[in-house]
Amino acid sequence: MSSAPLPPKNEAELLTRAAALAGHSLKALAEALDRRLPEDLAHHKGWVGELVEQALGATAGNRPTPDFPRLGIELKTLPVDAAGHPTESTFVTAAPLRIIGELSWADSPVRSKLARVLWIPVEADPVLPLAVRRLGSPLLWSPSPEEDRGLAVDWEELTTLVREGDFSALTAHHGRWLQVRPKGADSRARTQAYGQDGTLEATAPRGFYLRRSFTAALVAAHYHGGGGA
Amino acid sequence: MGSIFRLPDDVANQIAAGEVVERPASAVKELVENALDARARRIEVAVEGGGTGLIRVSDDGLGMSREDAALCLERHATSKIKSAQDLETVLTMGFRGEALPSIASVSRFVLTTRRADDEVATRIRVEGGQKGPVEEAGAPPGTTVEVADLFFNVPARRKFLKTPSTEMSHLTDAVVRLALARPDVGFRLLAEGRSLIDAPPEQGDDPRGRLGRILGRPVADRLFPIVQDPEPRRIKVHGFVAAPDVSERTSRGLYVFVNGRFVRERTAQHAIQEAYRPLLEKGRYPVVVLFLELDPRTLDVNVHPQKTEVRFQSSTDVHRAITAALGRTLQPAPWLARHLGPAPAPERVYRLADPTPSGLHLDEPRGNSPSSHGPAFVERARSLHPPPRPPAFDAKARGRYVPDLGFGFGLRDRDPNPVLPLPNPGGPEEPTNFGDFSALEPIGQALGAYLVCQAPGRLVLIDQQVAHERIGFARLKAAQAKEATAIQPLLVPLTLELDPTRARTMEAERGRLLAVGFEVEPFGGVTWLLKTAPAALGGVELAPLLIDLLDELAAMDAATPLEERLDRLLLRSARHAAIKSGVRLTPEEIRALLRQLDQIGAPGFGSQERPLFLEWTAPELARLFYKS
Repeated sequence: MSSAPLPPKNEAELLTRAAALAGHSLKALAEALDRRLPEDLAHHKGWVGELVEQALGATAGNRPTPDFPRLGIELKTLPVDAAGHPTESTFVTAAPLRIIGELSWADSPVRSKLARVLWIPVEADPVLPLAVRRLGSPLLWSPSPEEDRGLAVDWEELTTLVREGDFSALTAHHGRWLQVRPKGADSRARTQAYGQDGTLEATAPRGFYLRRSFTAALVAAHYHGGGGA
Repeated sequence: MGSIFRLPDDVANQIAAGEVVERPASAVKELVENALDARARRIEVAVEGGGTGLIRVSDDGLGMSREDAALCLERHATSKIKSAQDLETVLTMGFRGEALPSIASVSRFVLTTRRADDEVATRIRVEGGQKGPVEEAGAPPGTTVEVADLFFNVPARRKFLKTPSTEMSHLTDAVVRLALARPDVGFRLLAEGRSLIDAPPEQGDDPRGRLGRILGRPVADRLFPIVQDPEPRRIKVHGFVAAPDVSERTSRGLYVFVNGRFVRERTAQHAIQEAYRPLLEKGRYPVVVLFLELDPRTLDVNVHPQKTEVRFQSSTDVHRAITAALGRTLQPAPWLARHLGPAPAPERVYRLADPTPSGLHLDEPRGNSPSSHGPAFVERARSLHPPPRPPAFDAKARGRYVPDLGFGFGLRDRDPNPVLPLPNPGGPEEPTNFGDFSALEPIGQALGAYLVCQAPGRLVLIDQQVAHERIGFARLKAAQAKEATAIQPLLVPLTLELDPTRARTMEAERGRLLAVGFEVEPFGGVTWLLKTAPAALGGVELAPLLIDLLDELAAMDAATPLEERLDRLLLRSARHAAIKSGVRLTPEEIRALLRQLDQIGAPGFGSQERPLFLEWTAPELARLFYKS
C-alpha cells in the first residue's frame, strides 16, 4: 500500500480492508501511506482518524455526510486503554444550533451519522508511544432498537434545551449516552443560535458526542472478553 | 555354495540409512552437523515438501578437495577419527562416516563442494546409491548438499513418513536444537521459500539473542542464566532456565546438550524436573536450555547412529550436578514465594460442618478451637498427633484401595493387605448420576480443591476443577455448534511471536483452530495474529492457551479423528478457563456449580477424562472404620 485506495465498492470490501489493518501499528500504516508520524497527538488531534480514513478510502472527512457516502457508513476510531476501555468520548457531528429546534430524531444528523458505523479500535494507552499503538478489529455496527430509543430520548432532552434557547443550561451532564459539548479547536470560536427571546446570539459551537459509557458497552457486547481479555 | 553372502555396498548403505536417516529431519541433522564440523559460520537449510521433496544444506565451511569429495561418499570414510581410541575423545558432531553414503543411497543426491583456495568446485551426483562421474562446477567456497526425493527407492520407508507438515515440524525441531547449541553460527531455515528461522551469528558470548530468535521473545524474556558453581567441577552445567510461568504441557521445552550435542537423556531430564517440582503443577514442564560439559572419556556418544543418546559413566554425578546448579538458580528466585505460597500452618483442624452462611472451608486453619458440629472421626482426629494430613490415595486407582488417612494410625499398621471397598469413581454407571448433583447437600470445600457433599446414606467428594472443566467443555461444545454467535473478535488482535516449530504447527493447523473459534493470520516470519476467540472463553489469558493448543495439535496422531481433535482442543481450552483448585467457593457458588453439572448432562471426553467425583455409601465408610 503506497497511496490511498479508492473508496470501497460495498460493505464487504470495506470490512475486508479494515480487517486487514487490524494488528498493524500506526507507524507501519503511516509508512505505507507515506504519512509522517507526529510527535504526539496533543497538537495533531484527529490524525489517527485521518490516517485510517485514508487507508480505507473514506472521502467525507468531517462533513455531515457519512465518511463512505455511497455505502452510508460512518467511520469512527475508538481509542482504548490497555484494559480495553474507551479513553475518550466519541465525536459524532457538529450541533446545527440554528436549525436544531426544527429537527426530529428521525431526520437528525446524529441518527444519520450513527445509522451505520464502522468502529476501528485503536490502542491509546498513555504509556504506549504513538508509533507502536496498533489498530484493532473492526466492528460494523448499527444501533439496536433499544439503543436507537435511548439515543432518541437523549436527542429530545438536549434539543429541547437548545430549542428553548437555554444554552447556559446545556452542559455535558445532560444525556445518558449522547452529550453536547463545546466543539472547536479555538475556544474563542463562535457560531450563532437563537436565544430565549428569539434573536440570534453568538455562542460557542457545539458538537454531539457519544459518552464513554456507551462505547464501553459496545466493546463489552461485541468483543471477546468484553475487550479486556 | 554357501548360503551367506556379503551384501553389496548399496544394499548395506540402504540398511544403514534405515538407522541413520529415519526421516527428513535426521538427514538434515546429519548434514548440518557435517557443516558444523567443517567450521561453517553460516548454514542455510532450504526444504520443500517437508523434506521429502528437497533438502538443500549450504554452508560456508572448509569445503573438500576433489579426492575427499569422492571418498566421503564411501561408507565409513571420515576425517574425524582415525582409530578406536579416538572414539573416547571425539568432540566433532559426526565421526562414523555413515551419514553421507546412507543419505545418498536413498535419494537423488548432489554434493557440490569447494575449498577457498580451489579455483573450481567439485560436483558429484548420486542416484539411489549409484555414483555418477566427478565433475567440475562453479560454486562459492563451502559445501552444498541437495537431497531430493528422499526414500524414492525405499517405498517401505517412504510409506511410514508422516504428512509433510509433521515431517517439517520434526525437521524444524532438529534445526532449532542445532541453532540453540551454536549461537556463534548463523542459521537459516526456509520452507517452500518462506523463512522459518533467520538467526545470524551472535557476537560475543551472550546467547540471549539466539534464544530470542529461536524460542520466541516472550519465552526468552523469562529465561535466567544458570548460576555457576564458584568451584571448578568435573561436570560443568550452564545455560538458561525459564521462570515457572512459561511452563509447557510437554517436555519439548527441555533442551539438553552434552558437549554441544543435543541429547535425549533421562538422567538430565529427571534432574531438571526434580529441581522444578515445587514450582510447577503436575503435568507441566519447564523450559530449560541446559549445557553439560564433561570429559568426553566419561561418556559414550556412540550408543546409536543418530547420536541423540549418550551413556554417562556416572549418571549419579550428572544428576547431582544438574540439581545443584538448578537449585542455586531457582531457590533464590523471586517467583518461589509466589508459587509455593505461605508456609503451612503448624497445625490444622479440619471441620466438616459449619452452620454459618459464610460457608465452610475444610482446609482453613482454625487453631485448636473445638467445633461442636464435626462428626466423630474429625473429633477423634483432632485429638491425635501429628496433625492430620489429607487422605493420600490415587483417585484413578481401579484395583484394591488402600487409603492412608494419615491420622497416625495407618490402616496398613493393622492389616498389611486389607480388602476395602473402592470409592466409586464418577461415571455414568455409578450411583450418583448427572441429574443428581443438585440434590446433593453441600457441606463445604476441602483442601481448596474438593467439594464435600452428602446425600441420604452417601458421602460424595467432587473435584471442583474437573467440575469446572466439564462445564466449560460442555459450553464450548454447545457454542461451537452455534458457530456464528460463538466466536468474537479480539478488540486488538493478539500478536504471538512463536518459535519456528510452533509457527509450523500454526500454519498447518489453522483450519482446526478456526473450527474451534480461533482465527489466526500470519504476520510475517514466525509471528502470528490471533483475531478471534470463542466467546465462552472470555477472561481467559489467550496466549498461553494458544501455545498449549499448538502443542496439543502437534502431539496428535495423524489418525486422530477430526471430532476427537476438536474435542481435545475444546477440553484444553476448558482447562484454561476452569477455576483452579485453591479457589474458595461460597455455598451459593457450590450449589450453582452442582446445578450446572446437572444442566450439562453427561459430557465425557474420552481417554483424557479424570474422575469428577468419588463417593462412599454409609456401609462402606463404616467398613473403612472397622465398625461392625
